[in-house]
Amino acid sequence: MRMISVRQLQKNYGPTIAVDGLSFDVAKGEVVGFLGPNGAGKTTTIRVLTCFHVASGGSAIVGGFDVRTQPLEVRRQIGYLPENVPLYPDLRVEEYLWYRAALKGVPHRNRRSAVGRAMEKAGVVEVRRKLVGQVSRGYRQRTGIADALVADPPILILDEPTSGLDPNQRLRIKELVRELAQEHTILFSSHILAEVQDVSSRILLIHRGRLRADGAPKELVASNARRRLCLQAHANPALLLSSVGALPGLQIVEVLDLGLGIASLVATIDKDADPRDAVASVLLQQQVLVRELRIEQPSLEEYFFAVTEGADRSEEIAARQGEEAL
Amino acid sequence: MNGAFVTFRKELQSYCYSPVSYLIAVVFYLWHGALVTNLAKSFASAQADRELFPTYSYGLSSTFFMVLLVPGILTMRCFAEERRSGSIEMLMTAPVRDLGVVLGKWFAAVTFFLLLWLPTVLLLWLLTWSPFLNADLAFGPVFAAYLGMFLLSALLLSFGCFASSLTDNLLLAAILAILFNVALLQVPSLLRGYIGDPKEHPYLAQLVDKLDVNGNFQQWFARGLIDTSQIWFYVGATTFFLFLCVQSFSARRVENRMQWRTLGSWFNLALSATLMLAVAVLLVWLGERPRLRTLIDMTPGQRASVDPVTQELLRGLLNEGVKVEIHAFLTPVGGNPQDEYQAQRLRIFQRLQELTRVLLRQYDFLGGDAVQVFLHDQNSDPNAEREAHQRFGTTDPDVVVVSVQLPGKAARTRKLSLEGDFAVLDLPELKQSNLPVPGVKVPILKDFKGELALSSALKGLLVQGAPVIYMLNGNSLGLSWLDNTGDGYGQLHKMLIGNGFDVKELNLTISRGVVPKDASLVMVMEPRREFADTEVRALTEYLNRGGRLFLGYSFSGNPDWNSDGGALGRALGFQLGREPVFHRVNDGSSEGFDGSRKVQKIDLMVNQKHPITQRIWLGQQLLQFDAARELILRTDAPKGLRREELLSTGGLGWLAIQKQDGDWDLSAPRIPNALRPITVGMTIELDGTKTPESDKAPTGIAVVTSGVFCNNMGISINGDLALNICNWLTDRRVLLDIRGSGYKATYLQMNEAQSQRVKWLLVVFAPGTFLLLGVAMFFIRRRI
Repeated sequence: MRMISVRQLQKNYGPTIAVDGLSFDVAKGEVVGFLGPNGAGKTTTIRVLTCFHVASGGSAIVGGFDVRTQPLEVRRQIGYLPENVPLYPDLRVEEYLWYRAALKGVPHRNRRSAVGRAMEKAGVVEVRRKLVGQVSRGYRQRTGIADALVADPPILILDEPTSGLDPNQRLRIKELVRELAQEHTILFSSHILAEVQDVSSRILLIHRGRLRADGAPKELVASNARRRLCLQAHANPALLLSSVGALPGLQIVEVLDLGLGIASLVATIDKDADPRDAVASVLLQQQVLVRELRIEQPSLEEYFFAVTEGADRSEEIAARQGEEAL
Repeated sequence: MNGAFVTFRKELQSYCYSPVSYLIAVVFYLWHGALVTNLAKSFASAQADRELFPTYSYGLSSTFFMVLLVPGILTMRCFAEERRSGSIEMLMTAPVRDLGVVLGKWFAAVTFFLLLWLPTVLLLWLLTWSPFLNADLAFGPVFAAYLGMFLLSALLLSFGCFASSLTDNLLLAAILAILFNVALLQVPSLLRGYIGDPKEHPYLAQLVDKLDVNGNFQQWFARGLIDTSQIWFYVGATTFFLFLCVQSFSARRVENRMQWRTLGSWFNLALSATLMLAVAVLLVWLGERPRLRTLIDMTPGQRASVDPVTQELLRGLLNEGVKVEIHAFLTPVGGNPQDEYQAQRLRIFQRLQELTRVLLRQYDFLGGDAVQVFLHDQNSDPNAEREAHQRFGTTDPDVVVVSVQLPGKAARTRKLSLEGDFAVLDLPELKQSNLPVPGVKVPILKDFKGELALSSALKGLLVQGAPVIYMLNGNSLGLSWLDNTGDGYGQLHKMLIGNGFDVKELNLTISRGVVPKDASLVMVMEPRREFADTEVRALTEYLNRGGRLFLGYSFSGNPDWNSDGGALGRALGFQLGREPVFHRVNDGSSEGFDGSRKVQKIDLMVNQKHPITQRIWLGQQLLQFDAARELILRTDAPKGLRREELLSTGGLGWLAIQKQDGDWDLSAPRIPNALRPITVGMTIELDGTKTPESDKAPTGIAVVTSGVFCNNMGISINGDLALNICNWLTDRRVLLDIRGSGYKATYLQMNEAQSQRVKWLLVVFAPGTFLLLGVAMFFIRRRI
């Protein structure tokens, strides 16, 4: 069952195009990482989904309701944590949650338990009597999450839930998201890859308002980036190049002389291939002493870079070429 | 509307937690307290009417501060702060409607503003306690002022919310709101001066009247007058600004920045705003309709209200095509008084002019298009004033001219003087003793009877032709119609003329034993001898023609003067007893039965259904006769007489017993059974002789009373009764009147100790309480 369904979503701020024909679906129970560099259109997309902004074109269905025609229903389906977690500093944590629960229409008799549960889940019970303006950044973030949880909505949308936190806090938030994933459909945005990779079952990568990739983290990496063979040996580079380069299924990327009679070689290999035995035996025949031989799994970071920066660069080049052609 | 309620609660909570709120309260109450303390002092030293005290306490500059600055400061946070901090995103993604959020925030601001304002009422109430002023204050105007403040704050705060929704800069939002407040409070009065004569630009003048919220508050609400049409203006304008606020708030959803709105959405906004404005204007217009418009009078004793009879009269004017103009020439009160006497005189004039203004506003209000009121004062056009002076031939200051033009007739006018006709002044030259504070001899305004004077003048002018009252002479031995003092009837004479009667003397010898044809009424006051045969013949013949007779018998110590009605009584079916009538004072004491109490006056019970006395009964007005005699219905009366009791002693009447030496024992009887109701006034109607011109027999009517009540000494109490009898007998039933004036000036008195306590209460206690509350709240919120 689709909890979020976005089709050809368009959002312009005057002449600036923030989201450009974005389409994706989120199924029930999924934890989807919404990934992209700053300014990619993540927050804009989220704001359209939460009915904070109205789309310029396209459609979005959230929890079975159209954001354009049934915004109140949509908002009832969503627990939302905005990017900077803007809270009212003059209220106590508990008061704030109490207010939000009321605002979200939690009936009066359930409010105490709803607030209690949300505080417990988000881990803010110990600061419940403190003013929101006086708690640490981490607790503020957690209070924001408690706010998102308080009405027990089926969908959670978290915009950069870990930004501005120290590594410990970040770890805790990640754990929290993982826990929440058992009961909620979660869409959370981040520009930090590691988190997305750790937590989410699926990644949506967007750049310049467009969807660039969609899939499970491992699949994405596997499908689009090649694995690499890294080799260091006591030999001169030419020998390495000639002996290893001759093997099938290897594309040599670089060969370097590291000095002291050591050279290194990096080559991309096919998807499922494991040429380590072959390489070792070739080098053994040459009586070369191998210092290191390993297959490097590609990182999401590289993939991210490839999709975003790489795409930018190729687009720039294309544009420049176009200009020159003119 | 769950969203509205939740937002309201949260916002109110925020206001209560905010230190700024307490700062405002402390500053306001410190300032207000100092000003009110001074006001109380000046009221006490000037012996000003304490009824005005609450009204004046709302006209102080602290009120102005409160209305001018505070709404902007309260509302600046509403949306601007949410936008600045980004929490607007949380608010707008919660499942609540934008309208609910706006309403909640606005109403929280209104409620908090009223909460800030509420202690002024409490303080006034505390001031009435004995340690402070120990005086009743008029709370009607206080509640009306509170309502006015509610409406005004609702309007100003709705604009404040709108201003706050336009920007994310708090200071800018506050400045915008304050500028608007300044404009709304100041511009209308400036405009009014600029427009000049309201006659030339009637619509503009009306618009300015509506916009003048400051004037509305000071002149209407704070005085206890609520004109419902004004309420609609506030409702309409508030709705309009709230609508704009919702639009501006919702606009955030469409675009992040307002400047990227497309032309189409601007057009939409402009169109819907225009429509909304039209709805607001329609609302105000509807509120102006006479049928939907009422005036609620919350002044003490409903002083500002016009008598219901006058109200009916004024409403009826339009149908009859009558044009009424009322010109009030009010000289500006000013200058430097040389002493306290002069200063007090100026104050009295100021008060008189104010009361007159309020009164005239009522006439203007009730009379609709038929009544035009012109106030010639420092704000009006000097040319128009000169013209009006010439037209009415007036030169005096402080005069009110009533001009009535009946259809097809020339206008008739009557001049009334503020000091002479509208006021009862207690001048120290006349009366040196009984001043409220010994040693200070200043004039005092005791009573304002503008409504009485004005309505009488108007009624007199409206009645076409003056009915002629003939006073039968020769019977009332030794009594004068023109004597203004003692037991003469000069005051009644003056009153009758003032009410549009023509009073003549009837000398039956000169008129050859016939009552003249132009007689509307023949009056005989205190007949002291039996009527001669010629007189009886003349009067019965007059009654048979459909004439009207007012016989005012009395009891006299001289038994020769106590006529029993004689032949005229036989003809009309009444007889007068010999003994004086009294009634026991029903104060619950046993006095009277032991012979110690002597009762000189009779408090009368009136016929509740008769037109003459009905309104007197409704108004619970006191009527008092000097010693009267019993009016006995004769059993041998001619057939066809319709006799109706008008006045009686009620169940506690008794007849005095003549003692051996001929004097009357005025002590109340010892035996309770001796008490019984005794008639002392009645009406007698008889069918007259048919004339060839008409098939219907004319009705002759006589009113007979048996105690002195409307001579110079009794007229101040019983004047209404006398006038009602005359009006009823001359068929001027519309003029049957009149509620007694309820105005009794009361003074604020304060000794040194009280003055100190008032100062402590207002300047130390009230602001101090807020300071403590604020500090306590600060620590509670931060520490615990």
